Amino acid sequence: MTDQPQDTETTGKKHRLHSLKKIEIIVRGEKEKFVQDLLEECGATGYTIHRDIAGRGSHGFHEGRLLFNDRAGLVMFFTVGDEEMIDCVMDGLTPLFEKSSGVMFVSETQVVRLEKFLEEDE
Amino acid sequence: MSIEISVLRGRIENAAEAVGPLWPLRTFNSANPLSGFESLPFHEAVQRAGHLFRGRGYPAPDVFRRAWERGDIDPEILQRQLRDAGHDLDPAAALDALPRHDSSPAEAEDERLNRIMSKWLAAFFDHGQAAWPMPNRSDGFFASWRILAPFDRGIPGIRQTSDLPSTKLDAFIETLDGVPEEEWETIFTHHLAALPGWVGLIRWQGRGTAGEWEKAKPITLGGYLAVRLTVARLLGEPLLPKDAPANGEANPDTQTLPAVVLAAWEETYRHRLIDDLTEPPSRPSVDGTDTRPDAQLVFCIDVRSEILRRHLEGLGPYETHGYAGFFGIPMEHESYAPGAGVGERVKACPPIVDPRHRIAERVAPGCEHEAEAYNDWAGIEGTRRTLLKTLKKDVAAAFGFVEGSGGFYGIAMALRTLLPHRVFDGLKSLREHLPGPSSFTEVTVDRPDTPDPDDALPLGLSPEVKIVYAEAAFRLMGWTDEFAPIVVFTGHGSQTPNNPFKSSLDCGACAGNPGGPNARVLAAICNEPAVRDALRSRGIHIPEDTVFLAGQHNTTTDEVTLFVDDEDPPVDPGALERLRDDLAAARNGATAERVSSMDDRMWADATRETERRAADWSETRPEWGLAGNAAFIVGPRRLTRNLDLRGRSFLHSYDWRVDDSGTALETILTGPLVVGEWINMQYYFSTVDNAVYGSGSKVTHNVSGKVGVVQGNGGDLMTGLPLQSLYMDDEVPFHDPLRLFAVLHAPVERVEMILNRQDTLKRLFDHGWVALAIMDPEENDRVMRYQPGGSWAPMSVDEQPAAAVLPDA
Amino acid sequence: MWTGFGLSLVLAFVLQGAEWTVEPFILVDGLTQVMAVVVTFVSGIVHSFSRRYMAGARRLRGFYVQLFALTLVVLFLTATEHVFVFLVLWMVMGLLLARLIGHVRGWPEAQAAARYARGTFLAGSGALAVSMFLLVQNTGAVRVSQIVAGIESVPRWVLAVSIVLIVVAAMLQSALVPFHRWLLSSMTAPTPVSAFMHAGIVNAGGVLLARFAGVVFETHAAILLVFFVGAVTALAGQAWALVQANVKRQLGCSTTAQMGFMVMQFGLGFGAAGIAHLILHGFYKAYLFLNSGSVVETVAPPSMRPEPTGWVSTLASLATAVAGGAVFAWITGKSVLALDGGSLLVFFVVLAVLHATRTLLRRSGLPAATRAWVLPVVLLPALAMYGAVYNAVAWLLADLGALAFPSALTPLHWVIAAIFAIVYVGIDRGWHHSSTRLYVLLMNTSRPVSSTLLTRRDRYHVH
Repeated sequence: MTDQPQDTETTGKKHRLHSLKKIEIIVRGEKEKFVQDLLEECGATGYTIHRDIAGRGSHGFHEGRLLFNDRAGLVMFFTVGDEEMIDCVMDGLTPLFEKSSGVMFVSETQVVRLEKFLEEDE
Repeated sequence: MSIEISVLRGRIENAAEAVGPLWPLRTFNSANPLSGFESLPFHEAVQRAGHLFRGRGYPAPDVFRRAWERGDIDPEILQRQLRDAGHDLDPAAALDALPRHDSSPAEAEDERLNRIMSKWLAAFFDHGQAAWPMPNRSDGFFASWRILAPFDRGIPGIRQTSDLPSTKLDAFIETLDGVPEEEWETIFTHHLAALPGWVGLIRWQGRGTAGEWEKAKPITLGGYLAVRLTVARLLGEPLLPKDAPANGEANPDTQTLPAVVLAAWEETYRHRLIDDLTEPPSRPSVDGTDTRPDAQLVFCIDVRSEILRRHLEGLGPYETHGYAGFFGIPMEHESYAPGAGVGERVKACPPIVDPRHRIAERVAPGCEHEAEAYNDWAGIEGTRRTLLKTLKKDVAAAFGFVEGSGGFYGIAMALRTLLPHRVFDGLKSLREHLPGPSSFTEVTVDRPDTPDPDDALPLGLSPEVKIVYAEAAFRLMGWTDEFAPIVVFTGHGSQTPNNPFKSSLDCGACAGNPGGPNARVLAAICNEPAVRDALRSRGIHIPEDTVFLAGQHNTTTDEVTLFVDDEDPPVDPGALERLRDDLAAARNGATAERVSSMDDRMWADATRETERRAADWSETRPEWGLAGNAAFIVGPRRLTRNLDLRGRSFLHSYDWRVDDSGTALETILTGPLVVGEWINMQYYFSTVDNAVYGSGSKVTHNVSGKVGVVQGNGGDLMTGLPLQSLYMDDEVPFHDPLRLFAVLHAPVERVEMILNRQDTLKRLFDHGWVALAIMDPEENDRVMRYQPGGSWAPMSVDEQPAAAVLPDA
Repeated sequence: MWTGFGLSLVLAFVLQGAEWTVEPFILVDGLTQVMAVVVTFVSGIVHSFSRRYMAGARRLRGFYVQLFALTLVVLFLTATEHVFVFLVLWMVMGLLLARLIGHVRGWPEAQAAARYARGTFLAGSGALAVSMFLLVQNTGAVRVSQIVAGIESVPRWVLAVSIVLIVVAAMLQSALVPFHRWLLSSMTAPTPVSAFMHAGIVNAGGVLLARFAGVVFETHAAILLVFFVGAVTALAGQAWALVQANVKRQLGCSTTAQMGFMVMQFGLGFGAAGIAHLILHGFYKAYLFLNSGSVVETVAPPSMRPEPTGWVSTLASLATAVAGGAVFAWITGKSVLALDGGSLLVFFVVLAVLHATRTLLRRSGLPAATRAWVLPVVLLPALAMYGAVYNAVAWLLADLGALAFPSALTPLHWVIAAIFAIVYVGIDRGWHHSSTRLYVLLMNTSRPVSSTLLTRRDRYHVH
């Protein structure tokens, strides 16, 4: 279920770093499908999902690890991409968070093998 | 104008919250029709939904009146509730003053739009009824409609396909031209809520569980809206009719008269239940731990189990437990397919759980002979069905076919109508001569040696996960010490012919399927020595001589079938014989009780009457399903044993003493209780407004596309339960529309801890969707009532100080 | 009602097709006896079925009274040749049926369907009234047999108008093209009413034609007209049924088609075959309506590719089909070689057997041995059953000579036969899938009256 952008082989070698953006999204399990569709539509080539995470937010504390409920748990996505892709994802999530609980964080990041993250370079 | 597609997606997602998903009839799942409003207080939610769908949110005045006349509303409680709510009325006056529902007969402005949409949606959402389905469906709803629209005379201004926007996005760009983004959601909500049946089905498909049909006919809410807004534009209709209900405001008065009377009715029931639960003589003096029971049976928490459990326990040294009917196995079930065929795959776990494993039925070693006999029969039966189907539909062959087959249909019609008992006997003897797949198959609990990499769901269970599921079962039920020689996991299913709503009578925890397969999986797991060893190291000691069996409770006839090979029984044949005899005796007791609730005639042989109902093709009330449900009791069986709960309570076994961390209780509350709330709310709303939230009378139902029912000639799909599942007749409900009352046998601190870390759950209680009380075992089972906001108050009327006893933690 | 069924059986056995009359109103002849047995049987089933099915419905007494009254009206309708009595019963039948279509009083869509049906039936009664008036006026007789006797005295054009009006009345009642819409909009009726409607009431068109056979089949043009209307309806109805997504409308389209076929049999000069068809279709359709709650199942999405067929199997199927047709012709005493209307009926049986055989041969899951014995085991009883019903009907109707006349095959017959053959092959090969235009045409011409569609659920009421 994960298609992780990860890379470890190049450690120790001389390599160039490329600047990209990273987005982290935390939503309720019932919105998992929506975020997946959104990421695909915005051209994310891959993403990571963490299910059943716990935390405290404005709505109170939320405990993960629910055996018999895949909807109420929290799900975290993170993925890396260029500015355009991240903007697209943010555009879709902004209205969502007006109504449903959830958060997103965008930050600068650097990756080694650019072609793993950008479709155009394949 | 340009539109960001992702913004559009977000707005549609928000707007879609108003309409709950609708499952196809084959796997009817209970759902709160107002699930999208659950983040609001109950009273506000019914008002808003009432505006949007023009539905009633509270029982009708005559329903209240009948409850009052039956004595189901305590005058004192009603008086107190009225006073507290600031209504200066005595109970009788309050009942007279209940407002009648003002239905708005005015024709909506977009009827034409609704008709065009429902015509194409019905054609698109056809899962195999029409021989010639809508062309190009696999291109999606918008694209396939776009090809057909120029030939559809109902829409002006389209002569050819190029007159229409070429993509969904273009359709939105054209129609939303100049409309500010803030208004989109209101517009979308209006158009989605206009046809809640079809839109609910689109939302179901959006959950990604449509299987092969997903690819055959992809559809999204975006596609629906693109077509609908385009048609609206071409018809010259406004995007938002002037009379469209404003989604914004709601009457701030939460203490309306119907709300108060409803609360009084609920309180009456709840107080009586608590009185029963706390009445000392009803409890057995000992915990029953001194003698080992002959057998222990685990039933689904379903309210129907309670009746049979009670009758069985009265007959001998039996213990029963309650556990979610999918037995904790999040699986997809693949039924046995004769020959080289592929079995039907259905999800067999609750709507809030995703399946993680596929469990198939395969011929058990040594049973090849029986399988072959069955295959031969199934081959001929399949051919017969195919022949009938294809001959009926063929343009030229149908005429000769009718002449050849008409006589046989006449005979069959007479038999089925006049001799339903014989039909039941016939089916039974067929099963005896030719046992079904459950007699010669085993369930694939083990991982195959070479896993199929193409399959999204892995076949079988890994050794580790088996232990997890077995342990979860016993931990949740709080069952760690005593095991009888025979332990039966009993799933349940219904038996009813000619009934589009059959799956609504099956196990709700198995997504509207019979629970037998799940029971077989858990029994198979628990019989594995490796699993037992692992359980032993975790404090669950299952003796060597304990054997786990699987069975299925037929809720229509109350017959329990045990999946046992009688030629080589794994347990003492004498004990098995005794168990079967007692199950048969319990069955007679249970059917007598159930039949009397369906028909006030005296039945000499109630069991026979249930058999008729199970086979009679003209029967619209084969059984009451979960009608009557009003309480959810979590605790050990000794709390409720010997009590007649009249089939109205979900019973989940739980022992607070072996759940120090509260994990088991947390799992019960976030899983089974939430499903119980969905079921309860479906029964509630289907009863209070059977037209808007239910599916109306069965006598005018018309099954559309094998997925849903429409009333009469068509239009929007009906959602929810049919009248006959809830009402004695056209006017008097059998189901009392009461919100669920959860009673937990657990210490207050533990419950508070769970509520504080599960805010979604807490909100259900805070907002009045479910009421909560605890019997605190650390306080001598004192009953405390949860108050919205987080405080607790004593339940009993005698000690009713207005102030909360415990402050918010 | 079951008493009525018993009585009808006794009556049929006692009279054995002979006539029994109460002058001038009642005439119990072979047609009456056949229809009485069938109508009371289906009505009995529907009454018994409703005992459970309609339990708890409001105004249940009214429901049964109307259903019972409708049964009586249909019985008397078949048992009279007095034109005024016939006319009055015809109208009452229409009004009662419309009332039952709108049985749910508080539901506006059901009332709209009832209104539309009532309008249709009144138009039919009007057409019949005008026709009766013309015939009575010109022959001076009020009984059908007397009218037929005096038919020579009716002016040509008056006769033509009368015939056309009778045919139109029959078309309205039997929901033939283009008057099918009331039937396809009638699903607001409770299921048992639909069963009785599709198995009993729509047949009244056939009864009308049979009763007035001596008038209608007087001219060659009328015979061709009836044949043509029937054939077009049969084809259109089956084509509509192909595209229907809901089960009851699909059954409704099929009824229209079968009524068309029945009328076509009349037009071919095989009245007894038409009546036999009407009976067998009644059983078939009543069953399917009552059983319409059984269609929920999981079906795999269809593949649009036509299934491959080898030459050998095609030849084998053809041979079987021809053999089946020959058995049919032998049982029903039709001539295959004479190439008259009867050959056309044999042709339809051949198509049915052909289709069954091909379907069977395509089922690869079945062992070859089984396939070999399944076909005769299925086919022979079916043909025997049909033969029994057909011969019983023919025997009881022996005195209705006007229903049986030899019809030579005209180019029209050949064209219709060719169209059916082409359509059969076309559908088998999947040619139609490419025509989106045809699809929409079929969808739109088979749609119910729009005011009968429940698009806003708050308008629905159960009683």
